[in-house]
Amino acid sequence: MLDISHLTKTYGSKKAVDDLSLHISPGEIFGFIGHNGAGKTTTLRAVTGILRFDAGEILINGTSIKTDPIACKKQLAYIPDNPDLYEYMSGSKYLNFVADVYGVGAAERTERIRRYADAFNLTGDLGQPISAYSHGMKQKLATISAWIHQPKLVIMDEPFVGLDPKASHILKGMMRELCDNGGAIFFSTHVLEVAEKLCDKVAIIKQGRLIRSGTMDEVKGDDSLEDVFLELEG
Amino acid sequence: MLRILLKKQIFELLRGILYDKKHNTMRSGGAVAGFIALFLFVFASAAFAFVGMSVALSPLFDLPDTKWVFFAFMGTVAVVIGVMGSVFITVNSLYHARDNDLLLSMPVSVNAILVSRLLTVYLMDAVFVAVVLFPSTIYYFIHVPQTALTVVSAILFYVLVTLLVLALCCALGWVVARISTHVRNKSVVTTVLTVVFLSIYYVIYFNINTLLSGFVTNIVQNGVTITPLLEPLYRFGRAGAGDGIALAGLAVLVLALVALVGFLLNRSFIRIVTTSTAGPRSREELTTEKITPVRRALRNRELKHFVSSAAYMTNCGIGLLFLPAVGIFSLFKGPDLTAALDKAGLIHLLPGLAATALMFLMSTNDITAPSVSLEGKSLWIAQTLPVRPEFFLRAKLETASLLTLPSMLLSVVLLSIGLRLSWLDAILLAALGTATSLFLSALGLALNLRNPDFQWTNEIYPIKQSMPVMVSIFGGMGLAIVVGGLCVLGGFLFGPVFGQAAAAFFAALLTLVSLLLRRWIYEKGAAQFAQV
Repeated sequence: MLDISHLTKTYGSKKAVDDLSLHISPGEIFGFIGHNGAGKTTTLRAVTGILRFDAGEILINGTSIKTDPIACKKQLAYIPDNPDLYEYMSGSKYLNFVADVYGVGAAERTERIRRYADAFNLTGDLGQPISAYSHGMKQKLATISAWIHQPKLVIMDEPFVGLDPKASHILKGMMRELCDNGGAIFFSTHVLEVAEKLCDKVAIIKQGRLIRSGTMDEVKGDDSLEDVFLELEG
Repeated sequence: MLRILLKKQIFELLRGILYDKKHNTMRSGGAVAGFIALFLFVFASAAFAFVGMSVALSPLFDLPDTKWVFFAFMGTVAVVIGVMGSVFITVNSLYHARDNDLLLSMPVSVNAILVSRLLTVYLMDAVFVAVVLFPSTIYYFIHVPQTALTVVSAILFYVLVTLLVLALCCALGWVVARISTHVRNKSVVTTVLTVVFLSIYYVIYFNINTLLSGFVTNIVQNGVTITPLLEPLYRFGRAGAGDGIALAGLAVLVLALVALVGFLLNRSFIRIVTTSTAGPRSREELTTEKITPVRRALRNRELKHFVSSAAYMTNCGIGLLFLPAVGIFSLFKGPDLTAALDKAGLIHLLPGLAATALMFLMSTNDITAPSVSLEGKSLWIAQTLPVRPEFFLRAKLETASLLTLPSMLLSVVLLSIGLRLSWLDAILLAALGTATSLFLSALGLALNLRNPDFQWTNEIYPIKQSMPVMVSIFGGMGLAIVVGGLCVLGGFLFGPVFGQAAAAFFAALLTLVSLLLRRWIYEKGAAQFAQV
């Protein structure tokens, strides 16, 4: 589903990501953990095509994000850590705009908006301008917009920040459902308990370099993920 | 705390001038000097008009007991100009700043936030009032002997007028904000009020010379009788002319007004900035979702952004209203103009003059110039959607054309009727207008792609104070003067056919340049947009 090979991105003289390689298969929830400034967001932004990288290759289902970004973007969805959405639109207008761009049919979009908005208890607020939304509401709206075209790959940067416990629970269910249907999730998080329970695979990044990657059992063994992470981070 | 906030506010104010956001460096001395020169040019151009008012009032300078009339008149004009120029900046600066929530979440008093925000507004007021009062008062000083006391009085008068303007702007801004909290579409309210303000302004502007000459003649012939109705204006004028008691009275009144408005703002600030007016959406409404083709969805997005922001509409699209308004005006006043030109044997210059006016008005439609910067922090959406970047840029250009072309064409039809232009002149005017519209929208977008700014805290910065907007507006005005001037000059020197040929040539040239600009936008500009 997602192949990152030898990805390198430099800001000035600082290497934000250094020769990073990862492979994510269909059906996998892949957690990406690391300290602040380790290079997680840079990697996620490079995967979504927002950020040009210096070296390496990123393939989504065999298509390069460099050479055919549109084909790649059709298959993925991205939720940033701080979803700044179009504040001049209402929630409903925004969802319809995204659905229009992805060419989602009227019946499907109506059903999906209703399903996810109801699940997140956001239906009554869809008529409100986004400028009136709380951070959590924006996060929910960004999540619904990401799921509206049923992407094959979802890239999420700290998706649980700002969500209430119920919304977090619903999101975890949505993530699992998407992967059970052949999709894949690549997300960064600092909540190691969530990563431990939710992820099929995990990668730990430190100062731009991958220091551990594999299935949850391979990475943590008999220890907790927190213990392993703290030990690796030194 | 206040000092920290003031420092932040001044930094925001100056950053557009001193800082090159593209290269993350301070601007060179030459670039800063260029900005200052541009500012001084605009200041001097505006000030020139007000010196004309002083000249018109000059017959009163030699009469006894009429010095106050000068200060009453110019002071009132300064208040009107200041309030009209600043009221919406006040609303935006106070209530729509993006860092309001951040500051309110910190241990910062509402007063400190208000005072720091109002500093920017006050500086703007001071500039507007200075444009009116400085050159006209200098003219007055040159022609009327002064003492040190009267000069000091005039300076204090200026300061008090700026404070009066600030208080009135805050009071009116408060009213606008209060109304806005009770309606769903705030931008419509603000835009309607802006248009009303501007209409009043232009009615006064176009009639001021007639009013002024009648006013002065009447005073010279009959003197002034101070009726109870005229008493406040009399006191106001005497304050500027050096009457200590009147000046003290004005100072007490203005300071009391400032204190009252400050109290009002302090009491209502949090409530206004945290009030939301939109209603809930029922599940039933969700059944009406409709499919829109991508291209139209992108255009709708641009249009929605435009109509949702009063600042955007009034600063970048006011020409949309003025173009047909001038056309309607020509229906009434056109016969007088054509008769006057006919009498002078210059009727063949009329199409060139119409072209100048049309292009000049079109330069106020700079919808694309801030459009890239206005993507702000939500730029990631455009960058992650599976749409080629040039489609977003195409949507910006198409939206600008959809808004400006009908307005321009309506204006051309009305002007052609009002000025009785020939079919050929009308067609050439429409062609030149269309070419200008295409060129200015492409120029604005190209400039903004080259100089984007996504880090603004208030959208007023990219809309009003950014380099692309400045260059687009003043470049457009310069273009109107050069192109229109050459059409007029050609007609004057070589006859009407040359004027028509010049119009056709410039229409073709502008179309060609706009096509080249579009090519750059869709290729290099799109690549920049995708990777900003």
